[in-house]
Amino acid sequence: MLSGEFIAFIALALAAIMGGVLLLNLTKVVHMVVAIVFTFVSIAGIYVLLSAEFLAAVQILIYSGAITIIMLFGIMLTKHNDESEAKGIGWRKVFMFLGVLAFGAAVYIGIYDLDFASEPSELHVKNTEQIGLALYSDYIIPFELTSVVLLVALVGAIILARKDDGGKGEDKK
Amino acid sequence: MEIAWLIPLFPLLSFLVLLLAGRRLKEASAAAGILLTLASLALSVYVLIERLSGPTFKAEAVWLTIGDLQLTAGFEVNQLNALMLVIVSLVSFLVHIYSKGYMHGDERFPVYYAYLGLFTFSMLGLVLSPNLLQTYIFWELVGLGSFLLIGFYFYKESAKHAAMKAFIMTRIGDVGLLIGMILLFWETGSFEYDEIFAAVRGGELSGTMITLTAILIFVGAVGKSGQFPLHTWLPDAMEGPTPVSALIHAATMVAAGVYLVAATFPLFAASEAAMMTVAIIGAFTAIFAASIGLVQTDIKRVLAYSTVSQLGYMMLALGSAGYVAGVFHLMTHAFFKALLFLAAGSVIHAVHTQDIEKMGGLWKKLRFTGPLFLIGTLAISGVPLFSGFFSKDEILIAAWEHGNTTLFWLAVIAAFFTAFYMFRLFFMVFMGEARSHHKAVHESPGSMVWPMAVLGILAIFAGYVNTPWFGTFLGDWLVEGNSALGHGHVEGPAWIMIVATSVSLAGILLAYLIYGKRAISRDGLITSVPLTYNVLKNKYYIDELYHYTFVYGAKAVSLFLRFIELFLVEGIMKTVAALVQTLGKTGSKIQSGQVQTYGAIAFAGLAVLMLIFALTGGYL
Amino acid sequence: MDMDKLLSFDWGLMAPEFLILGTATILAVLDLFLPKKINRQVLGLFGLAGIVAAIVSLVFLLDNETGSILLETFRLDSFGKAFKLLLLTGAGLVMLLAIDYKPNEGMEEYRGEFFYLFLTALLGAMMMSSSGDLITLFIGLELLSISSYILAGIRKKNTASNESAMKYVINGGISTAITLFGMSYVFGMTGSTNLRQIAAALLNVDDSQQVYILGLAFLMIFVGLSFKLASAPFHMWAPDVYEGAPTPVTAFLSVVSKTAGFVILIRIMFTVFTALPVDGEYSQTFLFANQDYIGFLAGATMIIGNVIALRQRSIKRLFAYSSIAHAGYILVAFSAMSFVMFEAIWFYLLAYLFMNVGAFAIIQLLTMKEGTEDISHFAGLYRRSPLLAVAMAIFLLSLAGIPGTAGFIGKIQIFIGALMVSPAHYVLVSIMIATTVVSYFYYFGIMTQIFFRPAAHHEKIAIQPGTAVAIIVSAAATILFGIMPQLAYGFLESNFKAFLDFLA
Repeated sequence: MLSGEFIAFIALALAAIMGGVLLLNLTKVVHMVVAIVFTFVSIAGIYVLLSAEFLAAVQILIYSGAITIIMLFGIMLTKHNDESEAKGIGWRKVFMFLGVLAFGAAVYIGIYDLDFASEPSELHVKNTEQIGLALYSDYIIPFELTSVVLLVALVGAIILARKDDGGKGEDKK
Repeated sequence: MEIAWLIPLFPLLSFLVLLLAGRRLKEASAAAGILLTLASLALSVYVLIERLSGPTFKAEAVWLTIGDLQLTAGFEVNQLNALMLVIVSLVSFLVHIYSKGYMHGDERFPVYYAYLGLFTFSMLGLVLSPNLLQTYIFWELVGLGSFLLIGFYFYKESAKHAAMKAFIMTRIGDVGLLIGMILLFWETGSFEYDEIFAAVRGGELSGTMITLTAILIFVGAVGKSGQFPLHTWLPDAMEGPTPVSALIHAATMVAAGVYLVAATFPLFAASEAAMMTVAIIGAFTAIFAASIGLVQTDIKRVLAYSTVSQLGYMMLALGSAGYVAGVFHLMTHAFFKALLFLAAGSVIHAVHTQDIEKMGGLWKKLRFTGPLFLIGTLAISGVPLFSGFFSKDEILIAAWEHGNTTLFWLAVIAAFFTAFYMFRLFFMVFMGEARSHHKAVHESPGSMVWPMAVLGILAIFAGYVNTPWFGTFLGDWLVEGNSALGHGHVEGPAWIMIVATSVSLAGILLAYLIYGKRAISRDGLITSVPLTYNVLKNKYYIDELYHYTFVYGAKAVSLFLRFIELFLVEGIMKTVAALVQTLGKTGSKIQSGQVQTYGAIAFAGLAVLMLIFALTGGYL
Repeated sequence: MDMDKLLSFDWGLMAPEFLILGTATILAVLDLFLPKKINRQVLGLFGLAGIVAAIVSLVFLLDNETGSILLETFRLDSFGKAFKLLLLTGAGLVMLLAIDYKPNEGMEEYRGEFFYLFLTALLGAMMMSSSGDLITLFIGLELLSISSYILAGIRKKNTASNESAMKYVINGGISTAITLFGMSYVFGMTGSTNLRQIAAALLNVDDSQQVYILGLAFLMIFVGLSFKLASAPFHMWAPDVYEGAPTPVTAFLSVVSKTAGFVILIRIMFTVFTALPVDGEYSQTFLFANQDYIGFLAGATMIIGNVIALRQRSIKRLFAYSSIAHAGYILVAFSAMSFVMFEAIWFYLLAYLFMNVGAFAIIQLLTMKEGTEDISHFAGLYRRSPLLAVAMAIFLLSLAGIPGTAGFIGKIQIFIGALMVSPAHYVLVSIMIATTVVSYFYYFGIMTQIFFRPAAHHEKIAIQPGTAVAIIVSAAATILFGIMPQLAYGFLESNFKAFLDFLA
């Protein structure tokens, strides 16, 4: 059972989770970004383990690369020395911890000895091509719909982020 | 009879017209309302006359199809409906006229008439319904009309409260009705009365199911008819205008509970336990409310408790298989209680108070109201030859013949109480000296007196349609063609009538001795009638007896029951209310506005569900 | 895939979606190029026209056979048609409100954006109602969600609106994560995103371990989607978001968004989890065996919604809780799973659509110019405007489920449905009835304000034409469907044939 793949998976998974936990508990924003990069990269590693090389590349390019950079820019241009104040352990945290524990337990019961008969899979063969084919043929409707989602997100971001100096200023104080 | 469906439409038209054009019509609204109700009344009378000779008429159309389920809507004219139609439209018509004088000058005059129209429409619709679902629909609408009318004087905080209370309390009963109705539907596949009865006859329902559904329906009736323990809203409902009390909370809506039990009587008759429940609740309510009525000082509240008590009588009758007796009393009670309320309204109109301690000596000032009130009082007390006498007698006979000896005696005692507190009321209001100064007490205008006069005549003579002496015409007609309803008339031992008469006379006498005696010159009596003199001579003895036994005894009982009402019934209500309030408070507290909490709770909810799933699903 | 193949699909089935998408695009372009001085209300009218056109095209499609495009990533069956009709009608009515919505501040600059974001949200909801593929369903859900987040926060200078959008985004993110996690398990166990293929694969599951994992997926999907329904345990965002969002958006969230939530929930639950046998036995499917979970959440939702509503002073918060409660009622119908379930839910949502939009129209009229949304704005409404008061009374009575209104028919059908299955859901029905009684307190509290309170001020209420149309249509429909529900059921019966093609 203790194959190299298993060890790699455990390591990557732990790194991903640790990145997430650190993100929540660190107090400096720049540290948080570094923590999240950890998570992103680890997830990309898991994709590689699953023979989804295309996804892994995209994950590195977009998440670890683009998104992190944009975040860093954002932090640089705003108050980059800001620290989130650390709070004590409230009832909510205890509550949440128990919740996570219960959730984890319930899922673990389900998967610890789950065994699928491993089937020969063609997924890893030319998976970039396969994804492309699927997206542009069978899944064209959701794919196009995604473009609407992105458009909406773009418009929304502009609306919510734009400074209204140039506007009519009907209710400027 | 084919045109019976028009009857409720006139008041509906009145409601719509007044709602839209009321502001322009001002007090002319009354004319519109009165004319349209008159049309209903005329049609009702016509339908009744036709029904006297013709068979039951029923028209229906499919209203709703959902998959295989089919619901119908329509109307039915059977004996009970036809009779109720006339009662409702007549009382409504009279109240419409009466209100013209009573509500004169109120700035929301048209609104008042519009609400009256809505109520009359719903009540007539309720009566015409051929199935439980339709009954339920109008049942709720009736409650809505009552809600609006009780809260009519909205500037009074108590009125607002009473309106809410009435609405919610009756709704609690309706829950029972609704569940019972749906259960019946599910068991028999129909909401139709006929088909349900056929199913009951055919033994399609198990005994437990019959008992359960009957009791659930009875719960609805308990709420509507102010039976114990859901009676507390009715006295509070007196916050509404007095004509409304006469119409809704005396003659029609509160009688709807009794009507419902009567309309579903074959169902009840099939279950001994259900019948017993009805009888016990009825008898207990009768004596319970009557005893509370003994110590009330608000003229309308006395009448309200008396209504509760009389409705208890009707339930007792129905529960004792006295279908005819119950319906008969429902009719006579509608007349004399409406009369009493209208007369009380006339008194209030004259003296502008409802406190009987502040009244007195009005007999001479209110030349018409006084005698009319007396007629009503005599009728409700069961004095021979008045309508109430015959119907109450029927009830007592039914209770005795059914073997409910304890309940019978309770009813007799309640009759005694009734006579006593009604005459106490009468003497305190009309006899003796005026206990407070009222400026310019005038008799009410003609528009108020005439309706009372009509009701007065009915309160005297309505009983003669069903007497052991001149024939039991009403009873025979009511049960014609339906054996499930029992016999038209039950022969009872003659002593019951004598007992009933004597207790009511005793009650009157006692009331007279205590509250009326000062009104009549004692000296004159001593010289003219020696026998009376002897009785009066003993007045201290009786007085003392009364004071040391009866007054304290009755007061104790009365206070005890009032205590039950206050602490047990209302206490339970309050506890439930408080529980709901606390839950609400806790809920709002968790709703802190912190978005993290919301997410945490959602996730925790999921985790708990998953844990439960893991533990109970047997997948471990 | 070449062009011929692409054109061989019956794209006409998507006509309503294309119309909405086209309208949204045109609006976006118009908004960009139209001179600033042109009133953006015109765009609203244009959007409304688009919605009406979509309804018309959908009506023409009603007779079409059940059809699908591209591995069922789009699928038009009677279930989709019936619920899409609700979504479009609801959106049309809300659009009328939106055109007339002119708060004192913070809305003027983004009016154009408001309208087309509104349409994209609608598009998302429509996609959720007609797809047989998890991917499309999920993207529809996201489109609806993201559009709604922005709509909720579109009054940028209003802090309440900002806060509401923020809360909505965060909670929405959590819900999406949970839903998607659940879906990924389903995908993982079956290797397909197509609902019917999933169902086919699940028929052969006989390992209880696998059933357990699918059970977890079931709970996760349900809880995740309960965010859209605003039902327990994911209901807490509703009051805050409803209160802060602009009133038409609140109406949209409580009507269209909720309907879409039910649509996707039913679609996934009924195609996937009815196929899964419990413990390898075919006598009982997973969904039926586990309806108690839904029932439990339905009960909790009804209790929470109705009880907390008692303490609200803000009318919009009150309606938020009322909307939670109504989600609970509909879940009762869902958990009963009687053979009239589709009809019951459809009719209840129809009734709810009219009564809720109508009520929000009046709320918008009364509170738009005021800073607050206190219930006392309703005081003396009867004196100020009898017609509005009567209309509001109709909506409240319907929400409370008083006979003569559509709300009553909806409730009674749910009762019947819950009692006709065996074993009958007595507990759930009792909770529903008891909480309905509790709901009388707050609905009639508003009624008391309207009819039994003197007005604070007496100026006339100016009713804009669009709002007036919305109120009249809603009131008329509420009464009409209350007195002649056969109209709606007959329509269902004749056009959708008991939704037999749902699983086919």
